[in-house]
Amino acid sequence: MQIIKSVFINEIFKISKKKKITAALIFSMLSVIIAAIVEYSLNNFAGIRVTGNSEFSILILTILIYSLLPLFTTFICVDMFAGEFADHTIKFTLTGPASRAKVFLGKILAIATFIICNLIVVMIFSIVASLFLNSNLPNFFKILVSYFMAFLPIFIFALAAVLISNITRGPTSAFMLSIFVFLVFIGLNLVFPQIRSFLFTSFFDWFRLILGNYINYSKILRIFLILLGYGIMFCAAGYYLFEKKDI
Amino acid sequence: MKFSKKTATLCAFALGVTLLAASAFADTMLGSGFQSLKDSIKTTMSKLTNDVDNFSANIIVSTKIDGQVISESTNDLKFDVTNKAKETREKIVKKGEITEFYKYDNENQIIYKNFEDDSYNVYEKRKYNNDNNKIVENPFEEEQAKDAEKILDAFVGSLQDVIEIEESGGKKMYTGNLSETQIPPLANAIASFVFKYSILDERNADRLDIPYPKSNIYLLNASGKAIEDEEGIVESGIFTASISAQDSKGIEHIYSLDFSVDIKDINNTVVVAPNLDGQKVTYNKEGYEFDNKYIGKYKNDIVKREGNSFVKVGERFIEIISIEDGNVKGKYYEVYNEGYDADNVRSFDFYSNYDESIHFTIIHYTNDKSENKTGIIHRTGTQNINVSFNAIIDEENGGYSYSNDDEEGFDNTFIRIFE
Repeated sequence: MQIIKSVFINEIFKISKKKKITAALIFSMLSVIIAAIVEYSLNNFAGIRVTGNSEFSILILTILIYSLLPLFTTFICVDMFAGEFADHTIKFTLTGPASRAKVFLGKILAIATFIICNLIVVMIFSIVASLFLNSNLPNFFKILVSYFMAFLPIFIFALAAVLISNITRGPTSAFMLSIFVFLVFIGLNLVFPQIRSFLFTSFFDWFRLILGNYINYSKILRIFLILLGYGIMFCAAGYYLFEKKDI
Repeated sequence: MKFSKKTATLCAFALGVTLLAASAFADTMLGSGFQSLKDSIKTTMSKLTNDVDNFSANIIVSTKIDGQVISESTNDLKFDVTNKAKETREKIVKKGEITEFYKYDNENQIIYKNFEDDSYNVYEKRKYNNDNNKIVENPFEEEQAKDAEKILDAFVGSLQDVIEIEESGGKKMYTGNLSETQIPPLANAIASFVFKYSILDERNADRLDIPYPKSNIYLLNASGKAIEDEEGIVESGIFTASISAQDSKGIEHIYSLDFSVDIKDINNTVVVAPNLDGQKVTYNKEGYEFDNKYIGKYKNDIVKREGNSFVKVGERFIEIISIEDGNVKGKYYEVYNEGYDADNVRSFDFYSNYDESIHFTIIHYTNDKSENKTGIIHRTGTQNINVSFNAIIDEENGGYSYSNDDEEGFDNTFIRIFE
């Protein structure tokens, strides 16, 4: 456990030193500001409230969950796996006392932490912005649950990016292939909605299921199990390839 | 028992695949309330158009502001699918004023009632109209509806699970309630925009004497309920949508639309034509656009622009020589003023075949280059006619349109000459 903790802290330290983290923060903040300006302008000039009386934070989440959040998650995943193998810095981690399984787990935990932090930052920014936009106080509970639920599909996508990073030879191909897979899944969902239950990207906005008066718990459970299945599958395949990969 | 890393990894992978496949299959098989409701509506339309002999439908649409009814339209419809007959009664209440409408339609005639003097207008149908036409069409068989369904399926996303299904006594009840937090921002923005600038623009609001939605417009909620009977037919449905908006004084109003439909008396509906004995009735023949009173001479001026003024250089004439059973015969010619040197003075005979089109009176003529051409002739005003030469007529795919390429400055309207 101590070793996993050390690997995790080490990975978090490495992530914190990356410029991509600053970029992710800036872009997330910019997205919130731009969305707030659009919302404010539409209301003032056209009289239309895009978010209605609801939560601005949920609008932001709906937009970012299909754009910046997966994008920066892919950057981090590719850097932590394909990137480190490409520039051989993985040697320092793998020649240490930690086994590959523990290194893999530590890295996955670090990625999960990054996703959580990114979501928290976006949530805080958007709540602050919503206080300026709407006179009503937002429903903090619904916002919190929505952001909490949004973590799982992004994390599954991160595991897919980790798997791809362990298949490809370089970070560029890993990044391109991850984005390609993401877009193909989104496209398949649009063209063949009948197979949407088999595509994890269909559930990126599953938090909407808890926003209404009627909450379909059995559907939420089914989606959770589908995402869990994807998670176990990607994790096992990703670890297998990571274990086999030559330094 | 100890597993190797490889075995454990493979087992985990297999577990993940199994969990994913089982859950995804279960999710696909269970479907969603949205899919079930959609299938139910499609089944209903298919049965009503193909399987049942007759049925009645009652449709009520009402608009409200802050709970107060602004307008309400009630439609009582009776369909005799087997005998191709339909009866429509509509009552519209708008600002306390009642407007009524009645129409009976079968293979041979259409009867309208004029509620101002309780008289009837009877239109005898052309036989041409009756080819394989159903009295009620299934919209889901149209190619357009199939494409729209695909688009809806693709974009409805997780919202399809907001529809709840309850079953009792062989009936299914679908309930859906979309709160403001669930309405996608894009759908909200488009709906609000359409509402403000198209449905209830400033002019419409003024005309209806209701507050104009000026600012803070958003979809408040949308809810619906539908009941499917034992036969799989949706026997009733209610849908309500509300939009919140502030008027120019900043006062908030709730604009609502309520829609309800009831399908009843399946195979127990009798559709009969109204009894016209002793009633004031005007008989007309559908499609007989031209009759003998249109025989005569029509003209308009040929005008050219010279510098910054218009100069009349001649006249165009149309003479309708004979009209028999809707078949029109006539001639067209141009007469130019003495001294004016025209490039081309047109003159030709034309004729129409009554059965050629149900939408237009198509005329045929041979132009000065000995080419066979078609045109369109129709009535305008009380006694005048409108003529388009060199027309291309498109009556394919159930629609009809025409385009024409007359010479520049050609005036289509011909005024009747009374000698």
